[in-house]
Amino acid sequence: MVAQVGSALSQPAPDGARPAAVRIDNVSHEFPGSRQRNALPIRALADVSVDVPPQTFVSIVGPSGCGKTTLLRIVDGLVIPTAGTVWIDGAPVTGPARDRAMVFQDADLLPWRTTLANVMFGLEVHGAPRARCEAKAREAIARVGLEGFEQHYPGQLSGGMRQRVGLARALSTDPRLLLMDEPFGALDAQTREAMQEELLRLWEQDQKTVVFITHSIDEAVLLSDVVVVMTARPGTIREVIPIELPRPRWREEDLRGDPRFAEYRRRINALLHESRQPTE
Amino acid sequence: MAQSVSLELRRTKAAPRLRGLADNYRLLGAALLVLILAVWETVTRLGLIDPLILPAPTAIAAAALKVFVQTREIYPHLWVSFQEGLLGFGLAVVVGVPLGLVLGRSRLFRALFEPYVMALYSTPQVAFFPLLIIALGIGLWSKVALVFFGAVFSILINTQAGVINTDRRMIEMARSFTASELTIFRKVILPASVPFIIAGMRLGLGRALIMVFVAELFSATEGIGYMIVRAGALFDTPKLFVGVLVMTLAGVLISEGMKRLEHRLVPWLSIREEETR
Repeated sequence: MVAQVGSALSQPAPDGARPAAVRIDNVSHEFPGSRQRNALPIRALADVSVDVPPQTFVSIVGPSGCGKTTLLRIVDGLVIPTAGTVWIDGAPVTGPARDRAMVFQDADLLPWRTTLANVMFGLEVHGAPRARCEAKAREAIARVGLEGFEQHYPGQLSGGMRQRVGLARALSTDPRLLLMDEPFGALDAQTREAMQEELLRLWEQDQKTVVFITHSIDEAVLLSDVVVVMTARPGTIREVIPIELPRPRWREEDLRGDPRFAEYRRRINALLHESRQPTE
Repeated sequence: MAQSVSLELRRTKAAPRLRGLADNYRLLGAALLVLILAVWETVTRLGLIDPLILPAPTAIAAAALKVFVQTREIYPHLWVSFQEGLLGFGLAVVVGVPLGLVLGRSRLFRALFEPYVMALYSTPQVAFFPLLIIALGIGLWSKVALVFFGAVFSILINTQAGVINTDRRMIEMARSFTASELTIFRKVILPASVPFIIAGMRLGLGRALIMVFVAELFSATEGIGYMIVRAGALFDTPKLFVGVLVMTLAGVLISEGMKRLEHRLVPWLSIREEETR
């Protein structure tokens, strides 16, 4: 049974890479257990199926250890699942590819490169000519609001700025699918809110397909068109909740006070609380 | 109101005195040096210490003048020692860095060769010297070889550590952008290893310097080490001191040079250190 995720958007994407449709098809994954202790394999994911139409912003929430990050890495092609397939626009995922980009929790910037060089890294690896790498990098840096910091090293940037560099790096490759693994998790509350607003603004501009992992229910409801709730390990889909709040979300004055927001929050919280009960 | 004003006054009174002291550290350091030299000179002049064991600074200065300016005998010695050091260390870098990279990268090579590397590293390299003399003669090359053995393991082992210590998350990030193994090596692993390589080179340099001296100790007709030993045998202690001071100076200059090189090659490292202070 495939969980259907509705698309709340009808606006076409501006020119550029066409946003991807993602289909996660009966994906299961096991990690081999520790050889030293002759341990059993760890079942991280069990039969996960999700359908994500193009231009949808999907958040995945779930208890710690439920396999969200593993699932994201499977979608990116960094991990080959032990069962099942991920289809992107009808083509199966067999490894990392140029049409998708990932933003990591710790940004993973190369400390010996300046901001500009770090943002250029993605396109460099793709083999683009240097002039183009630099032009797109500067564009992306402007979009995330880091103009003036091109020559700074990561060690000189704050946490929020480093995350923005990571985001710029991903955006500069014009991906059709953007994968984000708790990108704001390590930030303080105020920076986090500012980054959420910036992400919403950015997303409004070209509405890529985004798969976003977070621990924060508020963040998920605020940012997404759909929230996917997972169970504890082995992770499966507990429920798929379309978020029918109007966009653009950053225009709403304190959307978090809205009763509809509170209702979504309550529902998701209840589901997660259930999941936390031990099942085995 | 009155209390806060008096606090301020107290603070501004104390501040200039402290600041004045900080500016004077250099002056104090220089003054200390002069004091030491003065005491040293006096003690030897008064005959409290046998000048054979500890000559006066003026005697050392005179000997330095003699070997550097009058007889100019020190220059061939300097040149020979320099050659031994440069060739030996250069070879150690050229061999040690690539081998370190390979051993770091390949689990197979590590499993096969690490035991030998550790065994050779643990052996006091000086023990190889008689063997090297038999193989390469008593000329320049046996000494170059000893310097090479002294330095190469530090470089190799530290390079290897640099490769192994590269943050896996950076590698995974590069993979997510579809980087090939070669690209990952060139753009992530290699730059990440540079601080380790430099650390290995610094250690290797120290050992190379020691090996230059030791090699000349054993069998030489030229070189600073030889000059020191011969001066000792002839009880020409001032000249001996000149030789030792030359080696000290060489060590200090090389160390400073490496620090400058590091700052240029790895500017991001010192920037990070500045920020956390």
